[in-house]
Amino acid sequence: MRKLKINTEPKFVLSERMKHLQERSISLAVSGKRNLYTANETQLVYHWSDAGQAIAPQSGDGKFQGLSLGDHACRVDIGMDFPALDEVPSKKYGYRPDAENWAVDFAFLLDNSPAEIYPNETIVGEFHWEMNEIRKYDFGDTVKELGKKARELGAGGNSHGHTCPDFSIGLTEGWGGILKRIEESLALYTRLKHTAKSAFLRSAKISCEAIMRYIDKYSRYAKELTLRETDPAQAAIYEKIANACKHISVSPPANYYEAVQWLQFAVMTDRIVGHGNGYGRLDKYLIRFYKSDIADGTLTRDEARDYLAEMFLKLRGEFFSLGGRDSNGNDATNEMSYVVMEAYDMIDDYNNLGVMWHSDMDPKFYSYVCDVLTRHGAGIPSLVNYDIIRDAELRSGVPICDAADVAYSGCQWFCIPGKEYCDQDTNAIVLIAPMRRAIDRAVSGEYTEFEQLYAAFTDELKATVEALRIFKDAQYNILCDMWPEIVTSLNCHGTIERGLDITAHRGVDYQFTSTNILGIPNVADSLYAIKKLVFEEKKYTLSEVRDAVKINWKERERMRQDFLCQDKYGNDLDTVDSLYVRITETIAYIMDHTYNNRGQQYRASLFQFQGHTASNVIGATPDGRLASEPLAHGCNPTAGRNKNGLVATANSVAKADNRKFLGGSLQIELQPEFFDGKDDLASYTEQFSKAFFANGGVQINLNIIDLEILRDAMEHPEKSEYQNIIVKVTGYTSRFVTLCRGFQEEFVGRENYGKM
Amino acid sequence: MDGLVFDIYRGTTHDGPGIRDTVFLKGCSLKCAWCQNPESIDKAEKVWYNKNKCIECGMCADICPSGAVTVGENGIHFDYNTCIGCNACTKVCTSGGMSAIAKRLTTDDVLCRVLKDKHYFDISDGGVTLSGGEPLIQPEFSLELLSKLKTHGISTALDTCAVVSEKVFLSALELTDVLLLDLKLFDSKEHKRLTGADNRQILTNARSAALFVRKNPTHRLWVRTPIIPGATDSEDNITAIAEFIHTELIGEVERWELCMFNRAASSKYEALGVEWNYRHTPSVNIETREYLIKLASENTSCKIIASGVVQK
Repeated sequence: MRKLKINTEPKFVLSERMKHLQERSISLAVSGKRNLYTANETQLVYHWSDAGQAIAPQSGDGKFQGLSLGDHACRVDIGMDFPALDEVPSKKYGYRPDAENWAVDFAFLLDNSPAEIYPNETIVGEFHWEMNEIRKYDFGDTVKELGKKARELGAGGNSHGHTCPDFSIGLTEGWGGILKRIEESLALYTRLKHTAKSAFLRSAKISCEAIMRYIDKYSRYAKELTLRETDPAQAAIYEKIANACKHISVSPPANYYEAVQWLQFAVMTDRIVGHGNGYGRLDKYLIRFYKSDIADGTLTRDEARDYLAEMFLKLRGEFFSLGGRDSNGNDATNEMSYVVMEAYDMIDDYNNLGVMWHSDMDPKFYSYVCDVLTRHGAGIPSLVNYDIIRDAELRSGVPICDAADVAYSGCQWFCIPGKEYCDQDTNAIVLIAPMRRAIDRAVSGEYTEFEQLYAAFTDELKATVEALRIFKDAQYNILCDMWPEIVTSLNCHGTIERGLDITAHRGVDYQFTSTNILGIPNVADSLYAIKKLVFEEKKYTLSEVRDAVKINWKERERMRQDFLCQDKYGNDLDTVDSLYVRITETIAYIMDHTYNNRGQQYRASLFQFQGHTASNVIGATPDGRLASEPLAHGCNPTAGRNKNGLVATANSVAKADNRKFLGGSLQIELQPEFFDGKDDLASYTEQFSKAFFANGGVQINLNIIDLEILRDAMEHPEKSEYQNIIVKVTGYTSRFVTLCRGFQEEFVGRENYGKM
Repeated sequence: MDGLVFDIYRGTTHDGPGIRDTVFLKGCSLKCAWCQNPESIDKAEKVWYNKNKCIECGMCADICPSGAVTVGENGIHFDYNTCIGCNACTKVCTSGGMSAIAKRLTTDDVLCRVLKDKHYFDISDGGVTLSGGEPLIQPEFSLELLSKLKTHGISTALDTCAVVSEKVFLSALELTDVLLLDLKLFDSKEHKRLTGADNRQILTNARSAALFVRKNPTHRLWVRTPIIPGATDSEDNITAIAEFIHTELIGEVERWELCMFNRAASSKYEALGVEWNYRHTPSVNIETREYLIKLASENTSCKIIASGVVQK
């Protein structure tokens, strides 16, 4: 009998009410109603395809066939198009790429989305349609042309949210307070006759009022249900919902319960825009409400945990962080940090939490975090090295007063909540492309030294980055008109006062461009093998290598094996790891010297969330990889190439200077048996992570799961025991059975340490 | 000083406390029928054949001076016993189909590698474990390595079957923080039948180890017993070992681990071209495991740990 996961007694018992909510949540997820799709493999690799349709339509009548990323969508698919699709203002009265035209559509969508409240819920809010399903999303021909050029050179991307608002603004002011500031600012810019700013602020007003009406709709519906309900207990719940929604539709939350409900609506309405933001430090947001209610005796810890667990069961795709330091550099962990972890511990269900560890963190909290992570084995939470991500922000030029507030916000990325448009996670550079061009140049130029090849690679990478820069600048020029992030902007610092959307030039203080880099380990392995076999041993010529790769090593098996069996990144071998580090330094150097048209620099992530699985788009590589085999995931070694044990791999990964990048996670799959005979399972996770962080590592995603069993789950996805297996796929978590087959295959092909 | 090392696995949790690197040394003083590392038994430098990696190019057969590799109708045929370990084939093989089982490394080579992981050892009270094979079958190498590890402040563990001279064993004890002592079978005849040697020397060394730990309380003694169906899993055997631990090892054993048999080594036997009697032996069933844990607990005062896969 193999163990799927480490099974221990649950620490918290679900109440009957919570059990019902969990059952509903699971059934929605496993029936595919929470699936998030990407259009195709090209989109997966470049985050941009010829159609220019950067956001894939997700729902409707099932006609959309894309690759399922898993149950990562915030929305609930009910298998039908938005009923008032023909009545959408931009369709009926004319589409204009401007913020007001956008906001009117947004208001229409909210006004025509129903309020839904299910039995047993105290935290409410669910939606079915996103903006991208009702409104044209089109950057136009100029951008598309530049996108094509960029892709030819190995780059792509679309600015698609992936930043982080600061909900402490709304939690303090309420939607009514935000609206008041919008109106004041609107009056100012109207008086000063700034038409563009006035137009943005009118759009902000339309959007904010729509959100307030939407929340009020829930209040009115709950009131209706109260009157209809015969069971007094359920009627009391409806009444509680009605009162809370009434209050928070205008005012800031008065208590903890209202604060959680406020967050639920804030995330939902932000997600209706159709993107993937992170949402900041959850423990920091909620602590004052929690403390005050506990002191008043109006809230128990159990209730606090339940409300949060309800929110986690309802939301999908959201990232929150915990811990870190405060602006004085002190530990920011508080009692709420525990309650958040407990809520996950209790429901054992998908959610994307990140704990920002640092050496001064409350040791009891970190031990509990590692205990939860180890017992559940689903990569929740991600462990993040706070000091490194803060330093990365400092290095980009963010002053310490803001850099200290950094929050882990997505798969591997981080952001200054409400002050930074980091444009993260949906831009990509495929590093294979510049390498290939460098090899072509080396062949035609008859290079005799490896250094000549490396110089050509550096040149070609610059050309790729330059193509991306031109493409992105063209997007940035029209983004705040074409697809503004008005809802996110409502909870940002300075947007309303400046009359600028977060995506507009200088809408917020920091507007870096961040790009994922796909295939660094493959380029390191390839260049190392070439260095050794072509330039040093002269066993093959570079043109032979180029030709062999071009035909996917066909009839070159002996040669392929030679390239495959050279030292590989991920084994703590300085021979090849030093080349990996050199490549990361080259990337960082080029990024440090590339600025967007906001005058802010480019930054790279040693990460790409699923592009490595779309190997057919990429083709074979000189590291001996066949076209059909996945590339390396992010900064992790290519599956099957790390053979010296987890610590050796961790050392390789930690060799890059992570302060120069916007994240790069060590992805680990461990067998449950790895922990056999250990008295204190969590201590391994804790000690390992601390040592990794001390070595300069930035993030750990840890699954403790038997991949053999998952292989069976691929063949028998109908078996009940396989329905609810949750894994950290790359930077996000999902139920295994809801992933498309290609992603499943890649997952089970990973190194499952601990076979010794 | 160099030795034959067949693997260094970094970040293990099974071979002693904390996070560890395990250095596997080639050559063993026993030849257990169920051995999980059959490639480690022979003291000599040898090659083995991995069919999964082989692309059947035939270069190995062309160059082999001893006739151990031949090309027949069924592709490559490798005869482990004919192989003289000259490594001619591994030099021409590009795919790793033919590979040297072990590498000759100096103690400094090993030290350089494991020192990179000192962060992990220090934070977890882990360190380096010498395993095998039987590490003490290369006594000079093992003792020098242990001594160098100690000099560098690295905690050491030694995974041993204790079939070595008392002199070597005692020297090793001085340099070993945690002794992982294998006690497989208490019946000496059975021991001889299934492992190739009787257990007198093992028991003598075990007693010495207990005495040593009593005198040097910073040193620790762990006992491990492989639970092999039909060989070591009998009530008599576990009770006898328990009594020995209790009475003769004088309460100095900190924990006793019962390691459940698994068939993971099948592919290794295939690569060696050796028939393995345990190829079809099923995993220990869960009732047996629970019963053995109960027996072990009732008859000793040390902590009992069970590891490995069981079947329902």
